[in-house]
Amino acid sequence: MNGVQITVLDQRAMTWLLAGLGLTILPHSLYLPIWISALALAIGVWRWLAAQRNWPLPHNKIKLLLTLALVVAIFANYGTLVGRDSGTALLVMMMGLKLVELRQRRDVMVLMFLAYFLLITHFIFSQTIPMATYVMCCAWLLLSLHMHLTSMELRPVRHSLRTAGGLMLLGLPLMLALFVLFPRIEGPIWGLPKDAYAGMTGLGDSMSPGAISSLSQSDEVAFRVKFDDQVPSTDKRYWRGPVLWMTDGRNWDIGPELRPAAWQSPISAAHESALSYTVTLEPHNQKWLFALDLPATSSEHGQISSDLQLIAPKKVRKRLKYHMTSYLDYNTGQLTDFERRLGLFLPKNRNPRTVALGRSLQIQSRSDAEVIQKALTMFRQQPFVYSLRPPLLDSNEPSDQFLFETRTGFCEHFASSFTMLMRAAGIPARVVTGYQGAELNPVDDYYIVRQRDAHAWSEVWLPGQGWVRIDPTAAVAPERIERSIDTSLLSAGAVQFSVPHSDLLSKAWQQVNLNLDAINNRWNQLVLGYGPNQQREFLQNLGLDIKDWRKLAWVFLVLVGGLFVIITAFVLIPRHRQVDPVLKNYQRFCRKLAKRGLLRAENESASAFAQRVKTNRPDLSEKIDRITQLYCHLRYAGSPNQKQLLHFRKQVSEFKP
Amino acid sequence: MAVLFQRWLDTLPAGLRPRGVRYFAASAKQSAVLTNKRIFVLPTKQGWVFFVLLVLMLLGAMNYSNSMAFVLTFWLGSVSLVSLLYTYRNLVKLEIKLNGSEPCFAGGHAIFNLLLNNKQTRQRFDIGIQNAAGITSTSSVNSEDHAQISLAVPTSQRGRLQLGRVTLSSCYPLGLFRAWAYVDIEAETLVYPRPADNAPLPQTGQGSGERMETTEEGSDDFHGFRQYHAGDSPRHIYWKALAREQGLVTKQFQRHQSPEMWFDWADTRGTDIETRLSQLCRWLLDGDSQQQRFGLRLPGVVIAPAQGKEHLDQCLAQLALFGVGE
Repeated sequence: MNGVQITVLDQRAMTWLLAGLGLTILPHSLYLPIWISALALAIGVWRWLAAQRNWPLPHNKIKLLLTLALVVAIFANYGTLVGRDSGTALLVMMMGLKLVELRQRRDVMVLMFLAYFLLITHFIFSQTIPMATYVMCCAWLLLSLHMHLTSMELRPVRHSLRTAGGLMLLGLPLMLALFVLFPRIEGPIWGLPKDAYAGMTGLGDSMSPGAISSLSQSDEVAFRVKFDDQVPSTDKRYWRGPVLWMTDGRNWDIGPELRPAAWQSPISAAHESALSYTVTLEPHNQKWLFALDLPATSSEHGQISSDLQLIAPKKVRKRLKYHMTSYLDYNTGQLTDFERRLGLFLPKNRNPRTVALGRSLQIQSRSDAEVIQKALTMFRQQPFVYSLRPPLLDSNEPSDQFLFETRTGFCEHFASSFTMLMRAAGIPARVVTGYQGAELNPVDDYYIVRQRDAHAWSEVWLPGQGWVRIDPTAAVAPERIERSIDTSLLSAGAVQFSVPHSDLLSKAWQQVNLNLDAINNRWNQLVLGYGPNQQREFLQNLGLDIKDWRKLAWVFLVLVGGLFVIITAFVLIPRHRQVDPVLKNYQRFCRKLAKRGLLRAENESASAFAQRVKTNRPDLSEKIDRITQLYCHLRYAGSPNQKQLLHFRKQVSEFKP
Repeated sequence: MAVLFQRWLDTLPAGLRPRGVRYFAASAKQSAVLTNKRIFVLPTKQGWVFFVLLVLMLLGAMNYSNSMAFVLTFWLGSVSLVSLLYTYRNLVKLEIKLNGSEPCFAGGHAIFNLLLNNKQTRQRFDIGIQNAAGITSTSSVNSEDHAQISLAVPTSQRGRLQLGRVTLSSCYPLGLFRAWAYVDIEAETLVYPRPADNAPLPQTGQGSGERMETTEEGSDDFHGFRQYHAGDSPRHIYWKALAREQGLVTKQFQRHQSPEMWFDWADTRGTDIETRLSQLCRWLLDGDSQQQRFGLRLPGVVIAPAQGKEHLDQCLAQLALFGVGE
């Protein structure tokens, strides 16, 4: 129907095709099991050799067997065929199989369409600037190949690359308009595969020894914060996350649902300590949001629960931006009986030495404050070590083992055993996890909180003061609170803190990193974060109401249609060949003579015309000769240079018949 | 799709066809310029598949709320829209005219040469021309240049052959859209009868086959001398005479004139008109290849004996049109 009749791909085209397809699936090798990548590569190389040496292609039976074997293998590897990862693996394998039976142009088109679809799957895994650039370059290459392989005549690949590039450039404004104006809806439309959000890191809803120290090795950004005006001092940068009440002596868990919705927090706070800021949270596939200790406002994005957590209505699976107000000085007021019971709960017959120590502290002290003080002093004075790689707590009494034997631990060890001590001493206590710290990016003046800033601390309830934050880690390693952990020095196991570098190179390096993060932040906010809410805001700024869909449809049609009309005009208006400057100047010379009645006939050569003019106007013969000679020389003896051209132009300009 | 649309249009009575769906006309003298109103553009099968793919990608982007997936989908969509313009531009304002045709024998291919003239500075790619029977030929045309496309139409019957309506089309650049226009080309050529496989020349000597000798200045046998005239070939000058100071003398030669033959309808055997015409056709060809002078006698037609390509064509044309109404 399209008259596509060529059935054999020439070897050069095959090489190009294989290279394009290879580049298209290359980033998937980061996520795919190694055997799939290796197999895809092997098929590609085999197909290339087969094209070079005219090897026969395999039989249908072999292909069928191969297909079945691959489907079974993928199912065995993933346990499903419909997930994100297994789906991608299946697509890659389909492409490989299609390559095996690649004979006709039709097969080539199937391959091209598979490749376009594979391109889009990259973005489920990563949407960073480098990845986006890479994928768009691949799209360019694929379009060029598409053009090259549908053409009926053999043209250089260069031509296809140029034309496809032109198509993309012309399509760019239309794409931008569609991106901004195409109505966005809140996804997902239907269920997503279970593994769609695999690989998101963040704080979980439970804490076991080692949970936070593993997070601390990641430089990934947890969230970014822009303060409205005031910035809290470094020792106040506690970002509150999940509050853990329940313990079995080793692990900590969140409590029962503590009335998240209609609950009114009895916080009384000094209003001058209120701080406003905007958080852009990276998706972590959990329900909690992070806010400075203590969050004060509920919003559509998150409700404050009775244990003062900020809870989102849904799991955070997209980058989320929310505005918050927090109080740094607060009093949470009275404790309910239920909360007191929860806050004093200890599992029976676990960690007996810890419990005993707590009891003895309670007996020796006159007030709760003194108990706390004594416990912190113990951490400070006894040889406790703050370490990223503490020895494994393998006994049944992990807290005892830590407090009395190993004495080496990360923040979760300190928070966990401190909280148990407090409970044993009759003080309601709980563990709070979250992040501590924030690094300033001076480029765009915002703060970055990374996974390595993950932290755990304790909260105790004191009469008259309410819940009070106690950070036992600060007693052992006060520098942890001042500076963040230097992940580059983690290999030794001992915790190193990043000190401000003094030498020029590391300063420059730091500057580059901050600049990159600022660019990433903008990319995240403007491009990746553009969703239904941002679209509504954008349209409202333009004076359009999102509910007035009739008007919106008109605006959409007029803008996109108008843009298309402009592009159409640009494409269809014929381009005129640039007029030869030599000819243009000679024509000027002829016009000057024509005004004096000396008209050059259409078929008259320049020299014949000059002869005729000279007989009429002998007074001009010298100038006419010069101009005619120059003209003949410039026009017919190779390409003229700029200097000669200027000279010629001057001669014509000065010519006055 | 496009083919279906074309068929549907063709079934409509001329008066009901949408305005604009009238066809361009071109001939050897008159070029047809493809103007915008009569160029159609529709997606190809491949194009429809591509759009389904785009819809799938869009659904995926919405489901995952994935910004870059939106970008890629919209970009590919925009590219396909711009490619529609390229497809259309590839055909618009192209000029087509007939550049002669070549007759053939029945069973062979009659050639129609069409000239595509591109007056614009943009090159045109992959312009296909297809006649009603589906014979296709493709060519590109350089900027401000012309290109000849030949359609080789297979024939089975002698007589007149008209090219009729052709479809100019192009799927450039991505094959997602096809632009096409219909042009009625006023082109006619002759299909000669198929020459019989084996038909010995008729016996000559019925009074007209005798050898006639003329003293034309051929170059076969030496005949005598005569005085030199300006323009005589130097090879024919009798140089020995010049050496003997007898002046310039030219040698004269005499050619044996071939016998004159008549190929007569009455001499052919067989009951079928076509069989007899086939025999005559074979004789004409053999007579021509043996450089004979021959004449043709058909019922109602007599062509005097002569020689040469033109004469042969004239005779063959009579065979092609024998019994064929105007």
